[in-house]
Amino acid sequence: MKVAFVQPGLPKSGCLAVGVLETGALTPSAKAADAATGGAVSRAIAASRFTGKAEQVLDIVAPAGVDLDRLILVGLGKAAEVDARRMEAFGGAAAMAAGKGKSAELTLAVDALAEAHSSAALLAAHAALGARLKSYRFDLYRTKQKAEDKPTLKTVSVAVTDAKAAKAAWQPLEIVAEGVEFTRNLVSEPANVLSPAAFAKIAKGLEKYGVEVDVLGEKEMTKLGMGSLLAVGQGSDRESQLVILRWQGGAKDDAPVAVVGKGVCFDSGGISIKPAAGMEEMKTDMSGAAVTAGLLQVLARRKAKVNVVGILGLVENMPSGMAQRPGDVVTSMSGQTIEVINTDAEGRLVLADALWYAQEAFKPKTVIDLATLTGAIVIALGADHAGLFANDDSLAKALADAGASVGEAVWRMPLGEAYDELIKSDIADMKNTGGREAGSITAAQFLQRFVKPETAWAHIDIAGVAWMKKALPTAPKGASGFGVRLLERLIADRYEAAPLPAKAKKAAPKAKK
Amino acid sequence: MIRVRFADRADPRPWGKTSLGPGDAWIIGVRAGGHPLRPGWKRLARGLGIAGAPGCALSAAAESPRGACGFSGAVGLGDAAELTARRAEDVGRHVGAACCRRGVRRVFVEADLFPEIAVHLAAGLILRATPQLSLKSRDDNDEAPPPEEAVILCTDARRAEALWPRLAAEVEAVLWARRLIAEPANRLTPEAMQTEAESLIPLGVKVTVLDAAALEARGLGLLLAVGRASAHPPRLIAAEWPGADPAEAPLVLVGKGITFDTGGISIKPAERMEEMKGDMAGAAAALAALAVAAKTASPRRVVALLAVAENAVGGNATRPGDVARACDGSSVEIVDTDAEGRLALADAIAYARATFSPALVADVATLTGAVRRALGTHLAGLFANRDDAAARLEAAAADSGEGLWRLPLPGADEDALKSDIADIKNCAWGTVPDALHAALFLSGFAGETPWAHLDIAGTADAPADTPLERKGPRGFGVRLFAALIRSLEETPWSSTPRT
Repeated sequence: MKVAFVQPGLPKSGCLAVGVLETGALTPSAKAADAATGGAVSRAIAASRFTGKAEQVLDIVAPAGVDLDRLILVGLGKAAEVDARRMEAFGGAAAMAAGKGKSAELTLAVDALAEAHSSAALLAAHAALGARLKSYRFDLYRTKQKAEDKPTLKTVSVAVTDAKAAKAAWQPLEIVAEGVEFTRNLVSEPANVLSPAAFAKIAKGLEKYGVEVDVLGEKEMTKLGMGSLLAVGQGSDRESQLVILRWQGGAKDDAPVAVVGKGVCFDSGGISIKPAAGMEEMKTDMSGAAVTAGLLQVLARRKAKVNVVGILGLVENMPSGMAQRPGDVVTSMSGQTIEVINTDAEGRLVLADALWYAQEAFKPKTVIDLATLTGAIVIALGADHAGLFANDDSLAKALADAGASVGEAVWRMPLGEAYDELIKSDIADMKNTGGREAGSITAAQFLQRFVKPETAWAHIDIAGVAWMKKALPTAPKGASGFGVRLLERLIADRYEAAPLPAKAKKAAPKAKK
Repeated sequence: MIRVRFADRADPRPWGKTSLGPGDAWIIGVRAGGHPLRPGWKRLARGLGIAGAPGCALSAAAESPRGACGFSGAVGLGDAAELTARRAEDVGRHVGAACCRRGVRRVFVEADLFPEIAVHLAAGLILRATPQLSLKSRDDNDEAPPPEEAVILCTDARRAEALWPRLAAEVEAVLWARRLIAEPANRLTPEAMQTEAESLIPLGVKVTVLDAAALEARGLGLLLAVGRASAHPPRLIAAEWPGADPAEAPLVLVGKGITFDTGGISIKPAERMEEMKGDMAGAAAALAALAVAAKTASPRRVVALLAVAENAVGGNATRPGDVARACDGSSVEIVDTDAEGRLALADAIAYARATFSPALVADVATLTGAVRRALGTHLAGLFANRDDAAARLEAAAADSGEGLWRLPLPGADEDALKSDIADIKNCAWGTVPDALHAALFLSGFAGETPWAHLDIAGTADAPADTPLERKGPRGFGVRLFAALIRSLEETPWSSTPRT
């Protein structure tokens, strides 16, 4: 989809989307459309239940007096609430409405609103971002799509007074959009196509943007002692891979931020096999790694002034004669031993070694891991928030702020000794499940055992948000790419903007025993 | 309740009239970090393996620091700097557990304790040592009875004695709540719950009861729908402590009081259904907290509002698909009769708003299995419609040691409870964040009133005997609410900074 920024004015063809405020008040461009159509906008609002609430849509097909295919009214809510996110929803809703017909062009009219939080130029860029992200499709494997089912929208033009400034604001956002799309593609790919090696090969492609890419195979990982990660992949015919992505945009000796992604390319559960219903969704169990790869692409393409290391732990969890068994004890790279109670709690086994490697090899100042880790987080938080665990309050706060500003919300969950007790093993240093209760927290406790006390660490459990059953304002249902925008914003705000303030490290509140 | 006395450390005869004897234990406190001990004590502490870390050990017929007695022992106090009220309670709990193991009749605890700390040690001791309700007709010798008396030596016994009644009221209330929760449902019926509430009348508590006919007349159709199949009709019990100003906008503590929850027609599996006698733990906590307000003559006006019903099966039971109306007029499609707690609470919250114009409503309920899946058995789920209400409850949790963790009210997912036929349905099916949905359901009935909701389904019971806890009902929420009331005594809700 092409995005352009143009001067305000009625387009000659295609669809036009204009905003309407919650009071029913027309924005200037809605007023202009109303005048050009002989009051069609006002009449349509009067005749409908459309009140201008955020994300409400009312479309007028082939309005009289103009050459438009469709005039789309989109609710913006209250003027004081109009911000970048609201405009993304505006762009997304308009793109959906435009997609109902056969139009090739959509014009988004963005007005300067006195009460709005940002300049019209920035709002316009975010409207484009919303349209772009919402229009995402994964049609690679549709070979017999009928012409009328194919998307026709080719160009989104955003009409705004300061089109030049809007275009400048769009440039970094376009890079973000492409990163999100890259991630969504990876998540959507079926597991027969996206093996660990295939994923590693795609990651290798990031070299063209200046990312240094190293891929470790099973031989190298065995040498490093990654018995925990390797155990997960040993049941699969496909070789496990550890991909190391390095973007060196900051000072040479500046300690990097490490982002570690769980990349279980398919998770059958292993010998502790999953029920059949819904198992196909387990092709998405590499979302954490996909987000990490997407993030590195964005940072490299916009030449971020920061050092970031991405670590992808890529494995396939399959049952076979070679697979690990419940009861097996494995030795992680850290030297700590793990009793594998449930082979379907495999993500933490992968992350244990990937986290340790990240700290040993790169001495990062901060480590953030992303993983579709537990079903329990879905029961705890649903699909509105990802679960956030952290050993550092200021990092947790920064992530929550970044999430709120890009619409990828995280909710902090507790850590504490009382939960750590639940993963004690009778035979090894720990076991890989803590039972039915507090499953997301015990998983995070497990990971924390592989985090050095001096490392600021956050763990984001994205099991509920990586693959959406319902469409979002800026995503169709399916792969959301959740995490790319969150971490891009976090890194921009916290690690690029200015030197990090003196670390105010405080442990997460402890649960009472 | 186990008797408690405080004695001055310098007191040469802290045992009073009854000299030290075979049933007595003398326990010394040992600080971490090689804090100096009296010469005779060093060997005792070393021999028992107590070096300051939490834990208590007793030795029979050993040499006591104060002469011959049945047991001598040592308890770890942790670092001196960390001996907070919370830590002192844990120390007391360790002592209580050790005494119960050894059948101690009278226990002396000697350490350099300030009176403010000593009282908390006593509280912890009682809370751990007091057994859960037993209806056994024969002593099965499983465990010795708890000590009859605890004597805590401290730096200022008179001061400790003056501080003790307030804390003793809390401890007594916790024990009361535990008993109510443990009572089987054939004994603790909705009528019996009313009788328990009425036991507070002599303290100056006003008890008003809406029986089934009154519920009908007032339109509390949700509470009626839950209780209709039971031979023991439902009721809404308001226990009110007037405080200094009976016209003050009160704190209303709403408790879920399902005396037994079969699940109704959406019946529960048989295994462990007996635990459902404890589905009134919220009501027990609210009522017991009100008892603390009364016993300590709180200047605040507090109402405990108990939504009491038995969720039974029967030919007259509510069916899935039934639509009932709450007292605020809203309609609810009951798709799952086992999501009954939120129905009972919703009516009570709406009734509270209409009747009491509360400053703050806090409800407490063993509401969802989901909160247990989310937070386990250590932290209860906290939901609130305002940050200032959440902050009050979080402060009370920190103060009382009864942990809360705030969870979000659903935002984008708010249509999860949309019904095809009524204003709202009572739950959604499948792998869903049911604790959040339940809170979302309740939030609609709280409206603009400052409101917090505590889901204690995971924390109501201690899962196992440990040195710190007895297996069974914890009485969770009583001390948290007592701390909330204390905080409102210090800073009334009306002066809470608005967020």
